Amino acid sequence: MKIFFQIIFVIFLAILQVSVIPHISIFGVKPNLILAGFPALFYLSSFWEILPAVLIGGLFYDLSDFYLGAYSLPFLTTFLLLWFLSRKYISGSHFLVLGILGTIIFNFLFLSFGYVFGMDHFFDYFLSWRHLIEIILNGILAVLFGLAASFIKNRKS
Amino acid sequence: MKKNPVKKIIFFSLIIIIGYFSFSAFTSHSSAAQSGIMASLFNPFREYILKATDGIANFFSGFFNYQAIKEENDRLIFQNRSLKSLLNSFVELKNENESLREALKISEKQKLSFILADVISRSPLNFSQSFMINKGTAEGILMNQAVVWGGQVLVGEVKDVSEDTANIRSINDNEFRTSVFVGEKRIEAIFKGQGLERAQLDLVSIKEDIKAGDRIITSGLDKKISRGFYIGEVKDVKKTGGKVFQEIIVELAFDWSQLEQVLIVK
Repeated sequence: MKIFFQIIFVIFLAILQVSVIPHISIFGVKPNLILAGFPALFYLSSFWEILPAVLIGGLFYDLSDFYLGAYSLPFLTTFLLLWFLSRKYISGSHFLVLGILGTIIFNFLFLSFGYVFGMDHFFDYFLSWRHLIEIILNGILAVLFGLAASFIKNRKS
Repeated sequence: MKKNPVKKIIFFSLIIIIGYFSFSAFTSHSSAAQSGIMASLFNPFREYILKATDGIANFFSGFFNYQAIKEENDRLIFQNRSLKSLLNSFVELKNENESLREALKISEKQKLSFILADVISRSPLNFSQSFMINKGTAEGILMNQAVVWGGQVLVGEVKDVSEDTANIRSINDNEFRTSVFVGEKRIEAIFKGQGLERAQLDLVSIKEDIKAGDRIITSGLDKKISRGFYIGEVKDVKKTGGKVFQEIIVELAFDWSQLEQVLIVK
């Protein structure tokens, strides 16, 4: 049952990403809501409970673009790396750190996959100051989602 | 110890999905998901998502920008009245032009044919400024064809195409380039998209006289996009001493992210 909660949460974030976010972007930069939601999901659920949600979130983004797998594969890899980091090296609930690291890892992987698979090269964005804004935005959102997750967890216990 | 069957199912599903994605990624340019059965499965879903999310976006857009919409509405009413008065003289000019053409036996410009397509999805993140349409090679769409809308305003070019869908690179994508004429003097320049930044004109000598408001049209000199498509107008010109070229900022005629349909030039 918990798996469905994660999936619904991720689908909700994906819908917001493609509908509302383009209208409230800051300096034209859109935050990545699903990515910012990862740390909160880590805090609330286990690996296997989050995995289907990550794949569905990636697939939702994939459907908005031409190359199926262009988002899912970086999402999956980012999820695995973040999960590993959050269990081995980042103790406690460091939502901000995970949000920032997640953005850098995901964007780097997206850029690399895009380059290797001949989609396009996205170096211009990755090296621009707007990328820095996205990192900060995702970090802030990760903290907000994390606080909401802590609130939910405290109410349950 | 009993193994959890859910984990097994997830694990095998994961292997199938990764396998499929990898296959898609390595299969030439386009993804295997863009053609055949997969396209007919995904395209209606894409269209539905886009329509649903556009509805939500419109609601929030109206909610947040009420004052701006009201001001824009007033301005548009005024412009509409002015344009109506100009229309009369335009009709006169058109008739005069036709008479002169007839008198001088000038042949009409080559007529272009178009394919109408629906936008079915837009790129969700910051990297690429592109969108997908529901027509592909089956309808005669080819790579690098120009994409226009609203009275031959250039919107982008076909970046990738499969049997049933095509990916369109908008003119403000980082990788979009085309040759253009600027202003009445038809000064040659290279138009380049800048992603999230404003688009620019490149390779215009500092000696050339370009001013804000000059119209930009495609020149066709790059043999990629036909001559005469409107792109926008010059927004700002900066001439820095010691530099060979001017820095010219462009105001685009269209915001590609609002389009629901486009025309592909055959």
